[in-house]
Amino acid sequence: MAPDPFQVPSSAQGTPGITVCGDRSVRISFARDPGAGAIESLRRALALPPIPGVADIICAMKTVSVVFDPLEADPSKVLAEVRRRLDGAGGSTIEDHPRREVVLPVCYEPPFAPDLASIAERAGLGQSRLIDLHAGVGYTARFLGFSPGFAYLEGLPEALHTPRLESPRTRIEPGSVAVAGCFSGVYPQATPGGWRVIGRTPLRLFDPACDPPSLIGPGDLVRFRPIDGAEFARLIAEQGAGEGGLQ
Amino acid sequence: MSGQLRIIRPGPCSLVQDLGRPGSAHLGVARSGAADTLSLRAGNRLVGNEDNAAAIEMTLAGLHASFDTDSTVCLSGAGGDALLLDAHAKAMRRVKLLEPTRIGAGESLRIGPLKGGARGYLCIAGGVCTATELGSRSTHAASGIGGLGGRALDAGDCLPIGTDAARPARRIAPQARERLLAMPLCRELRITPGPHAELFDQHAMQTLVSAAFRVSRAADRVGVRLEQTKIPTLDPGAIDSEPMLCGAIQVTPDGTPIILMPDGPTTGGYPVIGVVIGADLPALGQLRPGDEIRFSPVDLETALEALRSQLQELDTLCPPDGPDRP
Repeated sequence: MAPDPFQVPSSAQGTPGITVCGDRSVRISFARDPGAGAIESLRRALALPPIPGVADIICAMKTVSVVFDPLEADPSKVLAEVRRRLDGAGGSTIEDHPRREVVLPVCYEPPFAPDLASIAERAGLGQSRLIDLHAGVGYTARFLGFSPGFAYLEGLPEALHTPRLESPRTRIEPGSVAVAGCFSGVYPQATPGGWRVIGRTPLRLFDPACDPPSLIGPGDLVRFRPIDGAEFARLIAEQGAGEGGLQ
Repeated sequence: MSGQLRIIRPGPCSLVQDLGRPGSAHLGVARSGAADTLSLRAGNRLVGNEDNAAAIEMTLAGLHASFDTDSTVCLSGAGGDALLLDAHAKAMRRVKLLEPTRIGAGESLRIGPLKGGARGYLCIAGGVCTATELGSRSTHAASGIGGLGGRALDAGDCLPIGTDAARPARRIAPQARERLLAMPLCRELRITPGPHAELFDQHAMQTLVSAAFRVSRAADRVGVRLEQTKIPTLDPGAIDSEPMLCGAIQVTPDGTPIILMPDGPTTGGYPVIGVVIGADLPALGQLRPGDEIRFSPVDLETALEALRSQLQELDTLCPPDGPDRP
């Protein structure tokens, strides 16, 4: 008998539930975060060789979605192929995978860091100590979402864990470096946003003229390098664009 | 050979769209594409284009555009009063939906408020030839890509258009025309269950498939917010961000259902109670603020059969390969 495609995902022993979601995706769902390495292993196993009819593989913390064209691929066949590849995707850590390292220069000075003081006060630390903490570790881009090029960066030191703003700002400037919960992130476009802003990078995070268009890709190692206002201005000028051009 | 189309009056939201941009969702880039793909396909076929040729999607009201070259156009989807004007802006004749029309150099096409549905398509033989970005010409505002800089068209904009379609334009029988126009105008959307059933009790599921919902004014290409009926959630905000699909019905903590549209976010943090089936996405794209809709549950096999038979019906009414094809 064919498996019921709408079964409630099993959550036992870290075995993911695999179901057809909608009439054009296969959803792989873990009960708990299996870690960046396991998700990356899974993504690679699903991506190559390409599964016929599959258009997108979207990863998040505990869920991976394989989106296909139901006119090109039979959902039961995609489901079976996903199961087969999942069995072959062994556990690993993110360090086992070759990955890009992206270093983002960040100015943590006013007016780019409206929430730095309140986070420092909350953590009972000086602002310079907080900057050292934020820029002193490597982050893993767990997944992209929210807006084009926005990466959820894992690895934020615990002192910087903070809730979102109670009332989101209606406009966050492009390049704003922010924190919320256990994540850090950089806003690629001017959007509304509820994360707390502690600095700004002069680099363009998303540029459709580049290949790939997103500076940060899923699985990348990301580091922040503190710069002063003068270097920020110089890097903006070097990019050949005004601040507005960062969009 | 190519020419240009110049926007005289853009209408409230006119966008270059093709069948969309698969393959970039992992970068946070939505698939985009025509909200009513059925109407885009039909209009393109009638001017002799491939289904995926880019056209202009108009929202709630039409545009006024002039052509600097002889061209063949076809309007599809929701229609408004459409007039062909000569070079002195004098009305020449009416242009009907799903009837390919020759336009001479210097003439213009003026389309009024759309009726019946939310979106109309202006398909042009040879297609709109703006740059392909990440594999598609579709406009995606959040990414700043597609069309002209990822934005809605504005007065004075000039769009490159092809003049050579893959095949000659052709006409279809009146009955076929009527049927094609009616296909995306259904107000009952079929759904399959969402992945977060455990976050909704029997009462919530019953409400979803028995109550009527009204499309609010907050309805755009990102999402359609529904009003009139709320859906109770057992544990609001209980899920981590996860991949989303066009047609996913998210439920916010206050019980408001939001249906994600082609420009919707690739990941989202609200639980999904159901997903509109692929065959009914064109109907979703035609919903207007104030429309009353209902949801009916179907199983996966029914959903797939509906999609296949819809495309078969389109092929019967309006074959992709015209009889004149060499």
